Amino acid sequence: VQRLFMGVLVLVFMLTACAAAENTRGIEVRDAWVRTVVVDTSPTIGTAYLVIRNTKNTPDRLLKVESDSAADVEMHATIEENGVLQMRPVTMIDIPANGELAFISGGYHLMLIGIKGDLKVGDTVNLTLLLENTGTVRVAAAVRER
Amino acid sequence: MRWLILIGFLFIAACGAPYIWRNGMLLDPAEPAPEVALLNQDGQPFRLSEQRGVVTLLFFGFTNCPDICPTTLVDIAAARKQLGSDSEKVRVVFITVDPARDTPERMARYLTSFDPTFIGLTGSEAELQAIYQAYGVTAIKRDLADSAISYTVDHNASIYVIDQAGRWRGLISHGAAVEDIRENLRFLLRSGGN
Repeated sequence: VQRLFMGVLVLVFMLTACAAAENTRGIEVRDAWVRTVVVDTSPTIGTAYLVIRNTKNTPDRLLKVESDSAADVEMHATIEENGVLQMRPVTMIDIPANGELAFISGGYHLMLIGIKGDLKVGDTVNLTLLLENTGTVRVAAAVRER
Repeated sequence: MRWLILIGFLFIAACGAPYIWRNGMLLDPAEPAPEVALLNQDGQPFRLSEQRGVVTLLFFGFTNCPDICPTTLVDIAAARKQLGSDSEKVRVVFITVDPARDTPERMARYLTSFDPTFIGLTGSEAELQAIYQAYGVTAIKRDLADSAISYTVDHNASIYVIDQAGRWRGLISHGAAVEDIRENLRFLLRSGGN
């Protein structure tokens, strides 16, 4: 009986650990990359693209993105209206349960403003995503030409 | 015999088939392109009417445009590169829609990072407005209260294609693939502006 009890205890422990892992992870990021726009004068800018996958059965929400490589990181949406492209900052973006949020050209993008130092192709930019339900997720994005 | 006829038809179809412009619009009839007379990034005068014998791609944009402008310029640069030695017959001209921030120095550094042959043009507000109007370009400054860049410029992101004879031959839509841009250029280089 004692052995059975121990077994159940271990099982419960494992399940709890599993649930906890699911809770903090549940977010997968892929295709993260940064393109810097090379200018001498302020503001120096760049753009980050990535795809966030929410593997949880509950929705989440991207609230903020920060980077140690830029003074500001803004979430922008590109909207096309009669052939005219408009860029608008957004304050938060929903990520559906078992769904994706894609930052890709022509859709959403992350604008890096006030690039610190000199970013070159091959460098890495660290991004910190703040999600409403998951908390902080760290992402390394490579600097590429395209 | 039947096969021979079929093959013959196929040959004729292949030869006579008109080129189908990719991802955009071919203008027919092509009219002389409205003049663009502005200063380049080195402060030297540029005239579109003097660019004969080359295909000129005009793109209207601004250096603080984080997504569409660099994406398009990178794609144009790639398409041009894929043309090999014919790339010399293609001129790429970036016309600012944000003359207040796009100084010649800023444009020079910006464009060099895509392709050192790219030309950046600016001018007075009145000169630029006349050109936007002639090409049907919308360029509207929008204040962004919550952004560190304080304003953006809504604008068209098509590529305006001027042929070797100085005629406005077509438009390539924004988001066109590198191959689409390259094949449209090949077509114009092949037909020699005719």
